[in-house]
Amino acid sequence: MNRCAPWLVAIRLAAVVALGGVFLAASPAAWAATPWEADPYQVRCVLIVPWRPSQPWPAEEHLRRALVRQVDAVVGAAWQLDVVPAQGPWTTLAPEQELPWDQVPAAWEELDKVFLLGLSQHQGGYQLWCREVDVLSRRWGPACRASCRSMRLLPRVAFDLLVQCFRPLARIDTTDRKKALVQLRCGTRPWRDRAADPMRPGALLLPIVRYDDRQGNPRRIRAIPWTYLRIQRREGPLAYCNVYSGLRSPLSRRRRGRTRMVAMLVRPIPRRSVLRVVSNDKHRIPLEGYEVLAYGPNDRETISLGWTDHRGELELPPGDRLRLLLIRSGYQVLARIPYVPGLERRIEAPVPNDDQRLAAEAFLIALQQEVIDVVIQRQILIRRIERRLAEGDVGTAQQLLEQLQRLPGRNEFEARITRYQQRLDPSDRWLQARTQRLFRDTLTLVARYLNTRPIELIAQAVQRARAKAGK
Amino acid sequence: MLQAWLCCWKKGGLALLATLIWLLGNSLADTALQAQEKRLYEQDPYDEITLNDGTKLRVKPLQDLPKNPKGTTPITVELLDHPGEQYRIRWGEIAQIRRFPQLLLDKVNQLVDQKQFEEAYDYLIHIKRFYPKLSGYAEAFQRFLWHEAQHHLQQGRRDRALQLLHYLQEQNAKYPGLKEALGRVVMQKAQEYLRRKDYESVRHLLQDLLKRYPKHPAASQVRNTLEAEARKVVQQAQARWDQGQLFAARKLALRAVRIWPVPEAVQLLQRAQQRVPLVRVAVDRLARSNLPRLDDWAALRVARLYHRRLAELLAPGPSGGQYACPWGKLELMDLGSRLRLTLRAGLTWNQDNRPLVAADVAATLAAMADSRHPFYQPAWAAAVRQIRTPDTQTVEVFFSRSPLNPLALLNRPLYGWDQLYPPLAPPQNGPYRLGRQTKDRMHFVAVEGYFATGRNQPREIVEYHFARSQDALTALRYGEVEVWDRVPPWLKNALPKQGVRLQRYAWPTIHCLVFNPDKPLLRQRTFRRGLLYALNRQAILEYLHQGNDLDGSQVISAPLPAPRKAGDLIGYAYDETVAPRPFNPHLGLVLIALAQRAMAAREQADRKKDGAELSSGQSADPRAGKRSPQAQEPPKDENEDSPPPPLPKLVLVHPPSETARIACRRIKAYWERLGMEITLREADPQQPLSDYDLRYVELVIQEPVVDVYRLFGQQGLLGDTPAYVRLAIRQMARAPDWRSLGQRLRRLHQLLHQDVTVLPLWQLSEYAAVREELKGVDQDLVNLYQNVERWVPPKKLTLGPTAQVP
Repeated sequence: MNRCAPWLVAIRLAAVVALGGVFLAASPAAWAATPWEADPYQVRCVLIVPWRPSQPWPAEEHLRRALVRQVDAVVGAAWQLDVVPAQGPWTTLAPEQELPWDQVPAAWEELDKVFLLGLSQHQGGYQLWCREVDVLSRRWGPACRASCRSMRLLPRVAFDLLVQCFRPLARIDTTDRKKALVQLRCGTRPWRDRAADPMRPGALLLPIVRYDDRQGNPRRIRAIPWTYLRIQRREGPLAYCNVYSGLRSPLSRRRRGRTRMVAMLVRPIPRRSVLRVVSNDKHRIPLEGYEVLAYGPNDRETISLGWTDHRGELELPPGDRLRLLLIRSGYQVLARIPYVPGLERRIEAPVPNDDQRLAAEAFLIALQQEVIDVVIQRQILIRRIERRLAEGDVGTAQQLLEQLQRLPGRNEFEARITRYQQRLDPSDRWLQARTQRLFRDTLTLVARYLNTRPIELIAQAVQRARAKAGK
Repeated sequence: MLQAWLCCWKKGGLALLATLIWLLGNSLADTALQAQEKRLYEQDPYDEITLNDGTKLRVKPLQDLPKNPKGTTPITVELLDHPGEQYRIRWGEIAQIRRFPQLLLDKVNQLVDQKQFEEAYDYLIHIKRFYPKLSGYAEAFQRFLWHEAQHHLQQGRRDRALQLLHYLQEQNAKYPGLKEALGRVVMQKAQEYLRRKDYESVRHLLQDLLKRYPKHPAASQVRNTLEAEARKVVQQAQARWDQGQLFAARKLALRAVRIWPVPEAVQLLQRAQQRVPLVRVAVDRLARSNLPRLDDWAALRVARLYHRRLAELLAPGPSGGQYACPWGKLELMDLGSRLRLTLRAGLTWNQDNRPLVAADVAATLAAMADSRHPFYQPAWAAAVRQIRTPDTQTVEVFFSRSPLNPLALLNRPLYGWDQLYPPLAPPQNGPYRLGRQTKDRMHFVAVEGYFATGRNQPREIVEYHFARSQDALTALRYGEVEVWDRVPPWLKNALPKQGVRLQRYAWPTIHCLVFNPDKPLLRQRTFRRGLLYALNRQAILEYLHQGNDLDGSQVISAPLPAPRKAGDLIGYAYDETVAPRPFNPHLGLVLIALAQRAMAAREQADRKKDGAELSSGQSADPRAGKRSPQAQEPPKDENEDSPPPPLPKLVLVHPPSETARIACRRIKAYWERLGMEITLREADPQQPLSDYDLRYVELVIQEPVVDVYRLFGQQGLLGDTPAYVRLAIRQMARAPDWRSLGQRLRRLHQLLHQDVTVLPLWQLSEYAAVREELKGVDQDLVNLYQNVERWVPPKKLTLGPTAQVP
């Protein structure tokens, strides 16, 4: 485990205390309800029935009423639902199709959520699909599918699809690097069926930042990359979350102008995703042979998912919970990123190109091993020379001394290290930072263990013995 | 003081004297006893004179006896019991003089009569040494042999008796009763062997008897018995032949020939060979899997019989290997940026006769570029841009950058488009299928309708397993097999000079020790280096050759083929500037101890850390994963002066072949000299292993550019490879030209040497011995069956000494 510097620990403690104070101040007792947490979601369900686009569907009214009844029974006052038939291009919308925002009816701007509910007849039954469109973030949710055999069950299945697609929102209020406190949209109106409320501990939220202009229209909306919040505890409209991010300060409060930072519920989708690892420079070279490991937030063990291929890609397996991915080259961890299985089909992870560092590591390890061999051989030879001298066998001692002097010495090793060091790209600061210590340690090792003094001493002893024998 | 002493002496004088006499007496008695115990030939020599009155005198050996003595002629003698005193005896008073050698001979006969054969033999040896020309010695010796043989026969020890009788026969073939006795013993032994169905020994007995006594009646009796036995088996063979069971008939006929070469059996065998041309191959190990793997010579050998590859290696070439495609015409076009394969017309799959079309080839090629597929080849995947099948017979591959030797990448089995997900064993599209299989034999039967069947191709190939190479040599010499694959280096000069040719394989096998990555001690390269320093690999290699020429076999510094002479094309990946680690047991021992100490210290540190974590309630950081290389260096040990931990016990697994067995015994001996305890265990190369430390492997690396990835790449054969070795392999795959490829291969060589990723031992030249009767075997061998379609099996079997009537 890495040890933190004391000053860093102090800063962290201060931040936690400050955050704790904020949390205390923001306790439910002291909470004054605002439209964000008090007003219900304005929800519209658009029915897409493609097989009879020209005529009203006779069962539409039945479905509409049944849906409203279901919402009232399960969700209660948290949703203000209306069900309308699809118009214009929306009548032929396919499940995976997304229309640009300028084709969206202007009335949608007054809403919070729009459900696109498609029905089709199939083999005597019904096939349904549903997608949720979040108006605030202008993001389309994934398509969910279901089927049922009878008209009687259709409203129930359709409602389940709506709930399954529903992605509630929360406003991110106070954050630390590892913790966040969020206010749930319509949090003061709990669902009638509490068990069906998706904003429960363990739920995952995707932070989104919306930058508005003076008219309140969005200039830019973006999801904060490599960052998720996980609800740890919920108290009324407040939820205490842990922050998992591959960034240093993902939820920085230092934003100017009309900026809204919200978090939207995300769910793992049972499908495979492809992770693409590229270099974080301007060339974006695919990085091959980098190992990807995964672990859960509470796991002790990591699992190797494999190595990236020649395109820098690796297929990630489906799953049902948040995973943290480690991207590693050799022993060097290059990135640690959270990942919701299946949420995105392709993920691109820019990491430093580690090939040069790895080659340097190989060179230094080999050199260290050579140094160990030479040091041991020196010791063995010195002992053998001493023994020969004690026995009076000066000739053999002289031969062994010559053998000892032929062993590579400190200068030779230092020259090799220096030569290699000069070959490394001096402009690559990441590489320099990671290799400098390796080189320094190896040079220290060489200087410490390949001291020439013992050889000089034993050479003098042999010289004296020879002179004595000569007399 | 003196007076007191004298007084005492007077008092005790008598007693003292008595004691002295007793002591002296004892001493003399001992001397006498010793003299009695001495054998006659150990005593001082003497002659024995018997006087007319019967008195026997032992005298010192007589010199200068008169030539024509008269009765009154005196002779002077010195009695043995009264040395120095001389007496004169008249010749007429002497009844007999027995000289010392004669006394010894008499003693021999006496001992033989007393059945004290061991002592008698000692006397005979002495006589032979000191009196070689003594008359009567030969008779005494023959008598001794005869009586001892009889004695052994009485005791039921026929083997020993037969041995003595043979010796007696060599001394005197006309010794009375010998011929009959030998016949009796031979009959008894023959009966014994026949009961055990050991016909070969009976034939040896018979042959021996006939050599000694050509018309011995016992010989014809034994011969009749054998002939009768053989005819019984021939009848069975004929019955099988009539039922159409040709192989069973052949087997029985061969058994009959081995009992006695009755003409019917030999004819039946020849007929069977003409009907079903068969080639018999002696092997050191049968293939237990049909999955070709670089560490399984047997599986690679038979893989050529089961299935053909997209491109097959023919010989070493200046730019990697030279390849040919058996399926059609393979062309490299547009300066190597396009590859076109035009399939031969009418190709079908063996198992279902479905046409083999371009889509099958394209699917295999696409799988090689799919990183999720087991066939994934990074070099191929990185080079391929597009694969097209313009028609059912043509496949075109467009490269984004031209690979250096694309055909080398295609050296892999061809699968059908519907057999790739998941890829099981390679589909059968080769010339043979597996027929019957027993513990020591595998039959490969020619496939009907195979697209490249040769005109004279053997209908059947039988591989026989010989656990002992000496048995394989005998089988080859006697014509019981036509081919012997993998002639061990110590026997390559023992092959018959006539009728057999020895062929060297184009590539040697690379012998290495692969460590178990689950063993923490072996994960340490310091430990692995120590093990390597402690091995005298050159001495083991020379021991394996038993004085024969090494012929390209040599100690290697990395698991890559080394050039056997200057300019040898097989060694393009080998860096000759990297010398193999020398034999240095002192250094090896220190490194092993160092690694052990480091591991013990680390375990101690881990325990402390775990304890601290438990007490503080912290959880371990999953990011830690494996240790960083810095952490692998020995941490500061508080007990550096403490005695080193005991040396480890290692389990070394080797394939069940004689070469590996002998080599591993030598390795074990070297490591045990350091004080380690080594357990040897045999296991098939493809057998999954768990509890072992090191595995002896014999690798067949023919195209290093491709094979290093199969060995050291991700999920390679040789297990856990360091990331920097994998990086070097990736860089090698991206080499733009042969020059930089050579540089990168040499860099890889250096890394493998420095890291001791595997413990390289030596490369061993491999040979196959082929009898002249089998025609068509290629001179340049890559795989034994590389041109099996062109083999011409012998029309007539040469049965060797087995079929010769004594």
